[in-house]
Amino acid sequence: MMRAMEQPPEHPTPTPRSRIPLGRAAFLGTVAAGVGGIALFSRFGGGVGSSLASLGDNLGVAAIVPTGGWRIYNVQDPMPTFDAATYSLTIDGNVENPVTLTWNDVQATDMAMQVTDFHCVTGWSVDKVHWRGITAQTIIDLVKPRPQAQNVNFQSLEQPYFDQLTLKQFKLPNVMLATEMDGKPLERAHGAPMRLVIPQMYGYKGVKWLSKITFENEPTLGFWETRGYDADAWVGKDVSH
Amino acid sequence: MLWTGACLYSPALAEVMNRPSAKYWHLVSAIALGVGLFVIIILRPRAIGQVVREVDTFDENDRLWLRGGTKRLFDHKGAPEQGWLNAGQKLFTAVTSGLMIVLTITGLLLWLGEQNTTYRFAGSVDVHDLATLLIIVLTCGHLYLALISPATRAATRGIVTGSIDREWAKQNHARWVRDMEQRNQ
Repeated sequence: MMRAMEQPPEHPTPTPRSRIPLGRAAFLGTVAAGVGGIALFSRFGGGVGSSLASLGDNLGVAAIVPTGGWRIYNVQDPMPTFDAATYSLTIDGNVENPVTLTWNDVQATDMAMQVTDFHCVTGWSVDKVHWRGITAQTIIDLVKPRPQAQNVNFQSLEQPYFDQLTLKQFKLPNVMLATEMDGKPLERAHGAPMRLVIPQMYGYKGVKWLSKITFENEPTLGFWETRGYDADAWVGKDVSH
Repeated sequence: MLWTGACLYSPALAEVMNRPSAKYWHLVSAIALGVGLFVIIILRPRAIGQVVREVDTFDENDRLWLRGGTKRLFDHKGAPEQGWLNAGQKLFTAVTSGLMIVLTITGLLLWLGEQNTTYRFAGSVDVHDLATLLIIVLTCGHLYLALISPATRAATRGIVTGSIDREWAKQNHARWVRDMEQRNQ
């Protein structure tokens, strides 16, 4: 037997050296390809993502790998489970007409459609998401917030997740409480039965598994804001305090 | 790292571990890996230096070895004589090391980019995913050759016990055997 690592030769048998130091080239080339790939995927990643989404759906592996572009984040285990028989959406606070909607009430409410992009603060995006749901204006018209109520709290069934928008932000175009995504009812992982959609901000502002909306006078820091993220999570802006 | 990364990556595993926990342990294991490598370098600098020199030594025999293609992985008969590491091992070490640097860079960008748009690039997460996939494939191949392939698994004994069969070494790393014998004369 030979000792494998005992005294490796300091002066190995000389053999003709290749002009290309392949070890160094392979190492540096790999690093360069990775760094270059960041720029390449940032520029063209949308096209690659769309192609992978179709392939993943056709192969039936979209639940295993995020080929549709979606990554699923939650802050508690397990995720809430929607039960149509017991679900309710309470909208109250400093409003003239507080309501508690059953799932039948929600489905009977006027709905709108929109197609917008979704951006996560971690860097991934999903383009052209088809949402269907109740517009923010419909909610405002229903409950009639009083003038002092300048903030809107959104509580999730996933405790203790909640977040807040100003009333002005809630009135932005395309803000809605979505019940369908891409032609199908919201799936459990995507916040069934209802999630807040605000395309102008990063996804952590879009509270999933909505259970309660409260119109308040004073601002409150949401789940991620208390952990250093910005309350005004505009896409493309810094989100640190 | 692989498990927490899978929980962050795969929709099917999102419910196994929530994001704050998965992210926390992913970062902790990354730091542990980095510290571990640093400790090895500090404790055995000469050995690490010898590995680096060996990987960076690429000669005509290595070039001819690689020209033999993937069959070299399973049959070393007739291959140009190799040193302590064959050309495939050198290439594997270099590429895997490079991928670890890529994962570190993209991981840092992902971590810092959550709160600072200066570091936020849409491509970071794609490259991080791709580098992980490549390392998994390379590692699976490495484990196959180390544990299963009859042509190569004898080398694992050298890692575990520090000794290797002389005849196997003569067939697969002839230049190293000759160098060792000359040194011991």
